[in-house]
Amino acid sequence: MLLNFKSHILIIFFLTLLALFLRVYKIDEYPVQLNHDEITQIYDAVSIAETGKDIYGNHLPFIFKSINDYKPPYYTYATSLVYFLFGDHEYIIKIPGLIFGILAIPVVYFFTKVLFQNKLIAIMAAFFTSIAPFEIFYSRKSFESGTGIVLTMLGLGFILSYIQARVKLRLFLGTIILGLAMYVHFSQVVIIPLLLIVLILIYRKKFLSKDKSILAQHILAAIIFILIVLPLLILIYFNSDTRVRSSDVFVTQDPNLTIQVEQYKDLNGLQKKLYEKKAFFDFVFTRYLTQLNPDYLFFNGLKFTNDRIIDIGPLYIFQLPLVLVGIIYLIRLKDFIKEKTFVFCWLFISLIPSALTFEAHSSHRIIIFFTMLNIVSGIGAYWLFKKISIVKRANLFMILILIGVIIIYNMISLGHFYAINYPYEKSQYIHYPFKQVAQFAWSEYNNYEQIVFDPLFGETAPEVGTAAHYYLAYYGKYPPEKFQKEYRLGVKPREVLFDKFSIRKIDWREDQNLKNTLIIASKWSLFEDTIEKVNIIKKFYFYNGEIAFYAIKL
Amino acid sequence: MFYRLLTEKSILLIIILAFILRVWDISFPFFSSDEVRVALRGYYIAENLTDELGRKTPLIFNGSKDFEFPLTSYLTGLGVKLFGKNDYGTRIPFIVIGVIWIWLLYKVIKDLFKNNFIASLVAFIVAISPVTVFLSKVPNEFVISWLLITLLFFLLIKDNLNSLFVVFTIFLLYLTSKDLLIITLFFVFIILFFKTKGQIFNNKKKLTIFFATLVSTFFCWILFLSIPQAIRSLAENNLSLITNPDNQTNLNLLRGHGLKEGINPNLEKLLFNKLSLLGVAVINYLGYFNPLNFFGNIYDGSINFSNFGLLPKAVILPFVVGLYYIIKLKQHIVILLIMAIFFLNALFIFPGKAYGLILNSLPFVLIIIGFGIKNSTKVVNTAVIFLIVLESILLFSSKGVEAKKAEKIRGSWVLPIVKDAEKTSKIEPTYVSDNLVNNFESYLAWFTDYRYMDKKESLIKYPYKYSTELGKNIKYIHDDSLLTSCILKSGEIIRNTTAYVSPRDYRKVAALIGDKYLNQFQTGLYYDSFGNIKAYIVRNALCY
Repeated sequence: MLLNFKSHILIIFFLTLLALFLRVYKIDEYPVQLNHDEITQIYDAVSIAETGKDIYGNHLPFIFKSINDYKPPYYTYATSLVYFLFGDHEYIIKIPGLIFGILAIPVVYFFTKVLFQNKLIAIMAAFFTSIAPFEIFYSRKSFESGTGIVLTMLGLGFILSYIQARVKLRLFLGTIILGLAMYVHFSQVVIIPLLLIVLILIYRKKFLSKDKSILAQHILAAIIFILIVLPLLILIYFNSDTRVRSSDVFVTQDPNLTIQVEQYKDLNGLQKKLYEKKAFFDFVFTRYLTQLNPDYLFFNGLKFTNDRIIDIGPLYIFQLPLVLVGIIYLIRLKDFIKEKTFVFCWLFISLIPSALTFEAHSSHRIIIFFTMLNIVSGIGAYWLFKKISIVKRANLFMILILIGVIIIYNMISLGHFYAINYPYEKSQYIHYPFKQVAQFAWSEYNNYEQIVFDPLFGETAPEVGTAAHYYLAYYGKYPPEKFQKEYRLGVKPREVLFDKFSIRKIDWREDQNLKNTLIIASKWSLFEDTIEKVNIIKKFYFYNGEIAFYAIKL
Repeated sequence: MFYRLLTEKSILLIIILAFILRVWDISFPFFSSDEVRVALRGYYIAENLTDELGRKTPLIFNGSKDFEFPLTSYLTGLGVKLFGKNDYGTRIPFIVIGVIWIWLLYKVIKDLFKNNFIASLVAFIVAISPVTVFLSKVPNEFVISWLLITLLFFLLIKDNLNSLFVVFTIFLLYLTSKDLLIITLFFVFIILFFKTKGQIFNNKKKLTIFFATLVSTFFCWILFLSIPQAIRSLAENNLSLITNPDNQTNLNLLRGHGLKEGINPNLEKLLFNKLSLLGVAVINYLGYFNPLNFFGNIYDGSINFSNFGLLPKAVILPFVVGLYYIIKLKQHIVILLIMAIFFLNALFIFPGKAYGLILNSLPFVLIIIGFGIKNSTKVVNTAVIFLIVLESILLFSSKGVEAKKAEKIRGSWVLPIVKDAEKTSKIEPTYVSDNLVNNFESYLAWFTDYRYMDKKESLIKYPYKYSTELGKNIKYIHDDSLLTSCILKSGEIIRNTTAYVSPRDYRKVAALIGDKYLNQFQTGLYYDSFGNIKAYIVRNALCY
């Protein structure tokens, strides 16, 4: 074999180091600030760590109300644990994402090696995982999906390994890990059971063993899995907040589907129901297929820009031919029938969560799909390696240099889009000046009786920054215990109150009469002539230099 | 049982079914603005061999987005000549072509897979597919393309090549659409290449065919490029990736971000340059292979039933199986290469998707489906047939809803306006907002006895995206038209007029005569079937 045990372990070690570098380098600068998901999770995490309650006073909640988007609990609790270790720093929110983003490399290696019994394919897959745009982006963005993928692959890897080697421990380890993985993110709740069913069907002869003791082991593993998962399912089913979350992100929330369903409103009874169901199915079917667009996968799926002609996809564009070759190679592969069936089923199943949710594209819900495409890229690269390894040494050298240049060019391009274009183009999306607003508000805290902040903002269209109270509280180091007591809803539109802060819609006709008040608002809440007349003490800018907010002294 | 039904004779039943589905409710779908123009043109051709602009036997026609190639229009003319100025006249030729295509495709697939069941099943799929039924009922180039492409493929894969027939078919293809003019040479080459197993230059007959194709392609290109606006037509419609200034602006903007941050300008140039468009081209091109284009609900009612994919959704299963086995068994790889050729033009079209390219490739998608059926189990095929039938029943029993859904493109609400405008134009000056619907003049001339053709306009030899005006007694109100009131301060009305105004112009009329008088002069309303106001009748208030 080309590589001995020590050398491939060494390669994986270096790939893990590469991943560490790509995920941690300048993490404090890029992304340019914590986005609204991160700020809500970090402050809730601090609140949980200090008081055992979220900021609304809910004791160890199963689902976090957050900004009424009812977030899955895993990431917040994980951050609470990190808080215990490191104390309160902005970077603690990044740590769980980073850890699992880095762990993904050895785990992908392990899973691929178990699946295809080929170290070179596994190394290639690990290499693509270490440099993949989606891996780097989501690892740096504090996202729970990475944990889900790592646990899912680890769990399935152990079970596959058990199928091959019949080591009992691996079966139970795999089962337990898969059960726990379902707690990480709601998409795992859909995907893991489906993947398990597929795995059992593919290897049914091994699972339905005639040997009673082996069959008993399998039944015991199934019982353990059910016992781990049962509380989760009960909570999902009976917890009203979870149901709110599920219905909020379900595809039926998409106004385009509503329009299509409403077209059948004039029909009667059964006919109407039939057509409405068909409209629903067709919509989901179309959305499912939309995920397969190559431009989305390889060119613009991460949406670093506002629909510019070029962008960055979850995978590099150079991976496209590798994915195609990998698929062709798999199809033509005469052995590994079960394994390749499993890969194709994985690809098919992993797109389901995104097809069932309200966004046209939700890349964070199909990270498991991209991960498998990295493995398929590895297969394509393996094929390429086999082809080029027979050419003359001088030519081989040139080819390797060319491949290296292509990869480095793509990585530089990713770096440029991520560090430079992304904050310029998506300043509003990442709520860019909110941190500065919060810090300024606290710096003026003692000078005013009241601080009013209207988080309606936007470059081209207005949007309400719903996490404004989180930004204010977190950057003011406001004790969560105090916040839980102080937090209340006001009578004015969108009003949230704590301490001397009022976060609400501004009605300038009334509010201009306030005294000893600091008002922070955008052009969407103030009239143009108002901006010219009032005493503006500070302006806040989007990353691209456009004005986002004015601070007005009354 | 179903399998036994699909005997040799079943194709006759399938063709009868296809014919019934196409003839049933013949006036559905209502004409879009482009189709009504072609229908009207067919009428003028039938009458005196001129087009709607008065040009005698032209070879290239006016269109809303690009030149239109002649075969569709002359076939419509033939239909009108035979059946009159009505739905039968304009639709029957395309129904007949659509049905012949089904038979031809059946023959091709039967020859290719030596299996009557597969051929019959594919023919059945074509007979009831949303897009094939839809486009067999309106004047359009695609149904002709399907027939001719399939015919050419059929002729080229036969061992006994009839050179004359092949060249004649190629000429007909070139008279059908510009897209086909771009790809046919490659199409012919790739089939001959595979047929001769790469020995095309050692096979005299095949080489003759190839050179005949080369010469005829060259001749047609020369002919096309001799048209004054041909380059513009290519630049705007086939090379937009390169010619659209927005694409370069986008690159400059991204580069600008880096420059602002102090990044080395050379690095910026290296990352964002014209070569970046190469990536766009490749990705855009590969996007055409996504099954979404054939099975997803992405069509708005202009070329298909809205909210239905081009083919029944269940057919995606044999399509995927077909692809899988083409790759696995390395059989019929040529079909994939042909599809790659059909999408070639997509390399240079950005932004937007050229649905014509997707439509033209349909015969080969159906061959892949045939291969999928061949390699699927009986259970899978039975399930697919069941689902196809189910979806088709739903499709054909919802035409009322479909007509309503497609109203933005095929607004039958315009019909009463057209008829009323024609009546009033006979007795008094009549004005119509130009944004009521595109090509109002074509609707007017097709659905009534009105003639707007003006001899002066026949001086335009090669009209490109040319907008026609109405006649003397009936005029368009354009967005920039200067409207004047017909009412003196004393309340006296200068002249009797009727205006059919869109909501855009209604606001202008209100500003002109004052809200107070508006109710007095607004005498009627037109609604679409969703209850939205589409037009107002304003009497005696506008002098223009």
